[in-house]
Amino acid sequence: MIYAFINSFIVFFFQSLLIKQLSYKLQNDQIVPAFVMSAIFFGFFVGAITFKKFWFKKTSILYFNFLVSILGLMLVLYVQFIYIGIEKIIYMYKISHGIRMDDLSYAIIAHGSVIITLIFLISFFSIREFLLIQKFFMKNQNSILVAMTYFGSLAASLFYIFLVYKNELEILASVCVAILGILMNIVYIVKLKMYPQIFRKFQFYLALLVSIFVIVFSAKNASLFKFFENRLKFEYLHLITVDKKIDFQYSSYISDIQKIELLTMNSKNAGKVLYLDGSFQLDTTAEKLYHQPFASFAKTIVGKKFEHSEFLILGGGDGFLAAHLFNEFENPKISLVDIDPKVIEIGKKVFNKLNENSLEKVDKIFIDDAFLYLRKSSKKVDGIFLDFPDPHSISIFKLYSSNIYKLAKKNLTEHGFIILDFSSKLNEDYVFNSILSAGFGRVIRFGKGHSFIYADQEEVPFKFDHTIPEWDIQSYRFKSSLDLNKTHSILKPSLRNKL
Amino acid sequence: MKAVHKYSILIFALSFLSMLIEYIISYFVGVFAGAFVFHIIFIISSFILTMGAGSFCAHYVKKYEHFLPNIILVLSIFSLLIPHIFVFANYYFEINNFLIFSYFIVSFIGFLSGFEFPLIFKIKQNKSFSAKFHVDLAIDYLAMMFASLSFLLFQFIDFDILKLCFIMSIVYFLMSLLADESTTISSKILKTLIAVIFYGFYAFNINSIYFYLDEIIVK
Repeated sequence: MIYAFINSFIVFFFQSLLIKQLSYKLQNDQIVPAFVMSAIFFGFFVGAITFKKFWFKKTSILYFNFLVSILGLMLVLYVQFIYIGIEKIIYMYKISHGIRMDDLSYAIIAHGSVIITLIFLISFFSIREFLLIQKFFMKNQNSILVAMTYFGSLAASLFYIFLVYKNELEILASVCVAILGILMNIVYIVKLKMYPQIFRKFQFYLALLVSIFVIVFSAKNASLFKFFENRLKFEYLHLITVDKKIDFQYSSYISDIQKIELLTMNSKNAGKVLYLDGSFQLDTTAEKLYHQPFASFAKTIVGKKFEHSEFLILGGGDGFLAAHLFNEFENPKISLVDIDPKVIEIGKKVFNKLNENSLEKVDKIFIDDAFLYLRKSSKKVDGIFLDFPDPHSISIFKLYSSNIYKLAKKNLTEHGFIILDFSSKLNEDYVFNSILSAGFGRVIRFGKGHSFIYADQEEVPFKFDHTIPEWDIQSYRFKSSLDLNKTHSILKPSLRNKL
Repeated sequence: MKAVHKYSILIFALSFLSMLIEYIISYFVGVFAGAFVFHIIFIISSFILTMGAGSFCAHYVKKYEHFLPNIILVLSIFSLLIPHIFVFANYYFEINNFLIFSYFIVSFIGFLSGFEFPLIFKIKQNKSFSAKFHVDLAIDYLAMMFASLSFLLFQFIDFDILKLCFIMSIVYFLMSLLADESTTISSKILKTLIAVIFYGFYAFNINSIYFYLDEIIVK
């Protein structure tokens, strides 16, 4: 029972580790977990279906266990050294060529497939070990054996939760789990007296040597406590000093949405770059491109109608959008909602000169999930600006669904409007229909280089000032053309039409 | 149909559906409570723990031929109700209570799902089939793999969760009929008739139900 438990623990621990690391690196928490899980189950399937009892002796457990442990160790080392090493080269390339973080994800996907192959092999050998345990030790206790594997995977998940909260231990712990597998091999040999005939001494001493080496290696560096993490950060720092310096690195465990990195450019155009979840968010030298149109388009469309009026910014804790609104409108009353206080902190302490202390002038700042805030709030405002990250995860998905547009409409005055950043990951048709299905009368896509969407409750044609070329009106749609089948909704998560 | 194939179909379908249910619950918790690492891992853990408990308890079930179809029937009802349960839970509960409620629901479904595989294997052994544990396990894992890929694929097509759960519920119901070896044909026909009326009514109103739930989400 204990062997089945540990066997399952090891496999599912690596599963959790990989799901988190790959999801973060590939900026996707939908596709990556599904692929990792599929690889594991496929490994289990192939391992089980090709299993022939008569091929194996009791001692075969030893070989499979050994392979699982060694592959586990290889996986950890690959992820921590080779993969990250290659990622650093990609990172450097991106920095030197000014490429956005997600443009080279195919290179990371290539490494993802190496990792997926390793996890496939681990599960392939692991299921064979499991079946041999069943054959030799628990033949008529299948229910208990299955229960033990579930408990093993549960223990792995709980252990992983612990590591998530103790971030610095994560890498060291994954090495320890691999060592656990190797030590289990020794336990098999000693306790069960399953001395294999041919490789007996070789395997035993190799397992012992590898274990001792890894333990000593880890223990020696455990004085730093965060050896692997420190090494990683040091390397990044070393790499980036050529071009950049990491000012601030922060992983928020209040949500998956916000993993913040703030970099300083040391080039001629010295500026700061903000990454959320490894995804480019803003560059202070070019932020006008994606903040100014929010404010100036609103000003052009609504004219003087909304002077002294109330606006709500959802997201945008960096303070730039608020700054542009203060510049465009006369004494606007602005409230701002952001999920992470750290972004607000950066906006107040790091960007304060660039955003002209806009966050100090803002009427109210709410630290809350934008969706939940709109649900709770009953206050009507004249304009809502939705400044969210790209929809790369489930938690952000709802911020691009028809449901949030319905909530936004609920919080608008009769002539109120919304403006949002158009994500290139979305299909225009779906975005238009989602907004129209929420009860808005007309929707327009505008902006040069970077697209935005404006929507209000009127149902008459727009009167554009075509003398302003930078608006670059790309397309527009009225309520009469609404197609309810093409909408994004929480109950219909067909979001990634463009992937 | 050969009886041995019947059990393979049962293992495949039930395992596929269990995995899909887990994904759907994780999705709802992710959307309504935020995809916090802690929540998602805790949902998976609760499911696995209770599946383990279910498997463990299955060892002590005596009348397993009666027990299995009933469990599948309960799961059939639950799979249909999952979107309703979570949308209403999100409406009525504060976030912490919503999470506690979610853990409870996922644990209940996990516990029932845990019975499935060991009970089918027991029935097979009891019927003196050459019960090959490794083949059954392979089918189980193959189904889980397909479930993982299906949920992924599902997000690329225009298909809502309500319809997915509706189809899952029908498949569960069909599996409960397939697993039911102890009741008479007339009783099976009666069950099927009731189900056809019920599912027919639901299918007829599915779009209205969709829009109703969609409205509840934003209330």
